[in-house]
Amino acid sequence: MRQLIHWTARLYPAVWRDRYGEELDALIEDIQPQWEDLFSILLGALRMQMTTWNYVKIVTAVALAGALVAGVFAFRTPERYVSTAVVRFTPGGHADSDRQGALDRLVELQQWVLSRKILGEIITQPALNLYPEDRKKMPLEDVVENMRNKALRFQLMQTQGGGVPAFMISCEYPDKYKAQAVARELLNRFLKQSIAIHGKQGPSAVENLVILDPPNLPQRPLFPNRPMIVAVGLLGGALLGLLAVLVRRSTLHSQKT
Amino acid sequence: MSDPTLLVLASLADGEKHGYAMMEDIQRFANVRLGPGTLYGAITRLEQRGWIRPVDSCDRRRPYCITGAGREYLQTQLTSLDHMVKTAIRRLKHA
Repeated sequence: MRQLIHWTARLYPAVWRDRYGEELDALIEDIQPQWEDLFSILLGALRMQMTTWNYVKIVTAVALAGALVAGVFAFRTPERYVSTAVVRFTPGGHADSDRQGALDRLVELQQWVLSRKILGEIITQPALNLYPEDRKKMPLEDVVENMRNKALRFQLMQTQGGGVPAFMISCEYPDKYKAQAVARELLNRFLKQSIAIHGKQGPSAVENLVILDPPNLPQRPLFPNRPMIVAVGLLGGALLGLLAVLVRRSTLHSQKT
Repeated sequence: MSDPTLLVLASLADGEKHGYAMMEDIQRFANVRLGPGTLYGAITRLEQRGWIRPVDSCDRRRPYCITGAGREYLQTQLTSLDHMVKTAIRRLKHA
């Protein structure tokens, strides 16, 4: 510990060490070293370094530190990919092919696809094996609830002329292949259920669902946008550095007066 | 009172001391353990302001003594502190 404190004391600026270094080394030899002493020396060295730096150096150092912290955060944060499919109900001479009928059908199918039973089946499919860590820690019902609230989105999309709406199904997951597979699975279940319910009413009802965009394989994660996070860290650090410079200037000014 | 500057000045008020002696003294009279970085930060500031000065010594453990300006500053601060303490005690009694 004592040796570690001696090494840390070398972080003081050379000019400061020329004047006080020998005394500080003697003091370190006299004390019973503790962790607090190590931090005390480290903070003291940083403060002394700051007092010998010019303003450009301070701003640059703090900006780089901000970028470094942001970079660590960005690379430790797991990626989130989103796969999206777009489906539309088309008028097919069916009784419920008008807008309100389509909306009612959508709500009905959405509730069925997002049910505990269906999502539970998807989560536990061996080929998908979703949220394995969460499933060790919490009951399946909670995992389903989290998936429903955080990872899945059903959203109506306005079509030109305000006719029968299209809607989007999207799935967010750390693995882009699984995100696509889940979106595909949800879409399949959606279509099958639609056929099961409305197929009974005649073949024209089945033809009413059209896939405009099949589930895509996302190439880039939705989050984190690492270059953006690092840039924000750099900018935030630079602003913090400017603030530190202003504080230091005002402190020096008050000391002179 | 935990301001390292005042603690060092108070420690040197009764005579010159080197770093370790100051740490021990402050621990004894104020029950505050100043870390070596904090202590030498205070010593650097106090010397720059002319409130303490090093005493010639052959030893690596260089002693410091308080200057007239330092004594005056300490007196002002302690008077102000004393006024604050007396006021607080009086108010506590009347509360």
